[in-house]
Amino acid sequence: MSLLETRNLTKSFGRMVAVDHVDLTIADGQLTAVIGPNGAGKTTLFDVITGRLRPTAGRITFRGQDITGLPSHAIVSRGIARSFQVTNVFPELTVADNFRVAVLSTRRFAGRHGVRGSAARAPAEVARLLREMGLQSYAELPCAVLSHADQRLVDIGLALAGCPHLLLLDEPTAGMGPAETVAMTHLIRHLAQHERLTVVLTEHDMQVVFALAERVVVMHQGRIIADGAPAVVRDDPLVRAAYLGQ
Amino acid sequence: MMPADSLAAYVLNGLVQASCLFLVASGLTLIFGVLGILNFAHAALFMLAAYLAAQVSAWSGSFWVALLVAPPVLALVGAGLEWGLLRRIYDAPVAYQLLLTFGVILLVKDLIKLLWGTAWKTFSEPPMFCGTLMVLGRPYPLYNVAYIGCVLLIGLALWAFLHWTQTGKVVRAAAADRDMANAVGINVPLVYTGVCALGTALAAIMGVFHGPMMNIHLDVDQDYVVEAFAVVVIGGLGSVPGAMLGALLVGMLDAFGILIIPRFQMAFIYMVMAAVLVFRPQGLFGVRETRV
Amino acid sequence: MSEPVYRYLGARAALRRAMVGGVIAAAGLALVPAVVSPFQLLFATEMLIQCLFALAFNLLFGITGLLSFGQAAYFGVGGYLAALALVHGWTGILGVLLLSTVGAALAGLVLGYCCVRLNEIYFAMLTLAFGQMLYAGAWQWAEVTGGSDGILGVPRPPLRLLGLTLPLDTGLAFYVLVATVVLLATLFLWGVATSPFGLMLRAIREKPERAEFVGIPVHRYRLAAFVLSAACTGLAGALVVLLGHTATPEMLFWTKSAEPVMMSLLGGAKVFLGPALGVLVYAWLKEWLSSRLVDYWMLVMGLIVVGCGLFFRGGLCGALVVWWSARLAQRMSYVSTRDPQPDQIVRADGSS
Repeated sequence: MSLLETRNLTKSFGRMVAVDHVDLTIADGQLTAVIGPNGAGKTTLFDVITGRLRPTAGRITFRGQDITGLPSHAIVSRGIARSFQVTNVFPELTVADNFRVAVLSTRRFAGRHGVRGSAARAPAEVARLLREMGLQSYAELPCAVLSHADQRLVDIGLALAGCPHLLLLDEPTAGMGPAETVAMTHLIRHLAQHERLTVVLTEHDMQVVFALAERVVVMHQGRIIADGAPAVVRDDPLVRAAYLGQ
Repeated sequence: MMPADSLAAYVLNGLVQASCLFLVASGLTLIFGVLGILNFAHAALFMLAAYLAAQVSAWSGSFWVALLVAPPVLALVGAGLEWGLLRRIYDAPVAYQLLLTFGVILLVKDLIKLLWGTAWKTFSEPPMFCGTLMVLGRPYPLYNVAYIGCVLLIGLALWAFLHWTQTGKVVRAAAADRDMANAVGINVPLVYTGVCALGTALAAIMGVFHGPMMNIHLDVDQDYVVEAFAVVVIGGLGSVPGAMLGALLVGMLDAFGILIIPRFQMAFIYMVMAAVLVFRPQGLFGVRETRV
Repeated sequence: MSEPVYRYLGARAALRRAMVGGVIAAAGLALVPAVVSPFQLLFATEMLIQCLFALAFNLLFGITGLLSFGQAAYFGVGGYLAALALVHGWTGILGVLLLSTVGAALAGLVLGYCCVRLNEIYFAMLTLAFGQMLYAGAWQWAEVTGGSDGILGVPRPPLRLLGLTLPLDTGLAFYVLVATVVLLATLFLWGVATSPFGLMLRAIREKPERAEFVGIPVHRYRLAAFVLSAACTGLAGALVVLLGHTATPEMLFWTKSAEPVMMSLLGGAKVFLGPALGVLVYAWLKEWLSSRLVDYWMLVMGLIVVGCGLFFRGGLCGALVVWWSARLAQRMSYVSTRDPQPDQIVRADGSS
């Protein structure tokens, strides 16, 4: 069974169609990269899947359940998490508290451990997340004083806190220097391989895409124009036209 | 159905109230539309203008001199306020903007007390507008009618300024997108100061005209503070035509309320304001984002 | 940073602080009647009620990030419910207090439901509109609310608890009741603020959208905070009516709503007891200024308020924190965290 399936998914803003009848299927465990020139509709696609925007038409199915039109918090508690292109963390809370918020809220609503259980388990979970992201030494600092790259790590950590099945990363290496990009690539690969997590990411950095992705989906003006193994997609004439024609 | 002459009186009263509200609300909505700040102190500034007008009228013996003096002086006050205070809180959370402008109210009130004491003031209308007009056989104060006419002219002039002059278009551009306007080379800080001055001048005009109609005292702004907000909300934050329509609506409700819902006419206006905020927060013509 | 950094305490630490703080507060409150005159005791009682009002407001503002300009609505609802009940013969004071609390909470539920969907300015304006609506209603619904005069001559029956009957006519007895109620309510608010729920409210304050994406149903949580705040505000309203034996429409006017806003900002909204400090400082300042300057204390007060808005965003508590941390920084070495050295970071896969 596929993890996520969109059928005929469309999102338009007045006459401008950002996502145009997209049929996309994500299989369990498959690290997928969604690429395309600016304005192709990648972030809008993420927004619609995660409930930030309501689709104009089409359906989204996640693990067999229809999640079209549900509010974001409901979608998140079903197991889809995302990080943001513009880093989106709780700036005045400490790093540890950022993770604590995510841990306490998703556990509560997933109902996995009950109220008392979740409060008891929370410190261990928070510590685990700090270790995963390598942020232990910053645990008690407010997020606002962290560097851009570290805030991005907190953002991803927030997404991981709910033990999601599907993790959507929106341009995870945006604005990062070469060393940080390499570290992020290692991290994403680790998450995909060791955490039973299906990762879908959008990217502009082709090196990251080809280093990580098992499958590449190319979007252009809201439509999917290519879909397959990285090497195949790289040589696709339509894809070349889309990038070069810009 | 009531006799036509009484109806006419009610309508005229409604128009007078609408005129007062329009002058205060248009300034408020302009300042919000362009600067993004909701100026609590706006109504207090109109009160300052009223006191100043009373003083000038006492010195010169003429209403018209007061009308010539008060608005420019208040425009300077408004500009000074923007330059000195509001400029520093553009990007601050709303709470601090409201706190600051609330503090300004306290300052203005005590300044008035310092200069003029707590006695009630009044001054008379110009001889030109003295007397009554026969409206459908009933006498009605000529001054009120003249007031309505003046405000109508001012409203039209304001609209023309915003839509037909270069400066007006610049103001509207800055209202639509501050950063873009800056990037295009418009001197945004100057525009802000100018808009503040204009808005305050409008409120000042109201203050001058208000004097002959009603007594001036330290609590006279209370009548208008929240109603002005109601007008701005109903019309849409940042929209001058909205302020016009909103003022008309609220003014008429004020006048006719007693007839329609004799018991809760005061609450009715706030109910309308609440209803607009719940069902159509952007009001009649507003454009700003409203939801979380 | 010019404001204190909040760190989640955890249940045990929060409980410890509550117990220690509660004991110190109780001791302090118990001392007050011994050192002040009966007139000042009346003033102290009034200030305690104001503190509760401000703390309840700050649950919404400082913690959840919602600026309500209409809290007076629930103050008035609680007050009028108490007045009506007592005037119609209710004799159980605790029952009356409960009625006010629950009634205000219900009002908060109904009105809050409409409000929490809006953001910032629109939320503030809607709360203002609702407050004025209720004010106008109280003013004009004369048969029930007594119109512009309000309800006068509200009795203060004795407290009946565990078989004992304790008269409350004296200033001292009433002060003890108010102090106890306010202390208990404050401890309750502390519990809410330091709970996981409180942490999530703070997250909502910071970034409502990110909170949504972490699984928090933002509207629901905001509504819950709104209802809790309204309940405590209603309780304060009931106490004030018992204090003055009257309920008037002025309790619902927007300037009454502005009071807790000012107090919280003056004292510091990000610190739990900041608003209480704001109440005390404002009251003391007002007394001091008006005795020195008689007629023009508002001018100085206005200057202070404006100054706070410009320079001391964190209020008094924020300024204290800045001063304190500046002194600490001089004593201890201060490590900058802006540019972390790469070799100090160990990533998940062991690479540096």
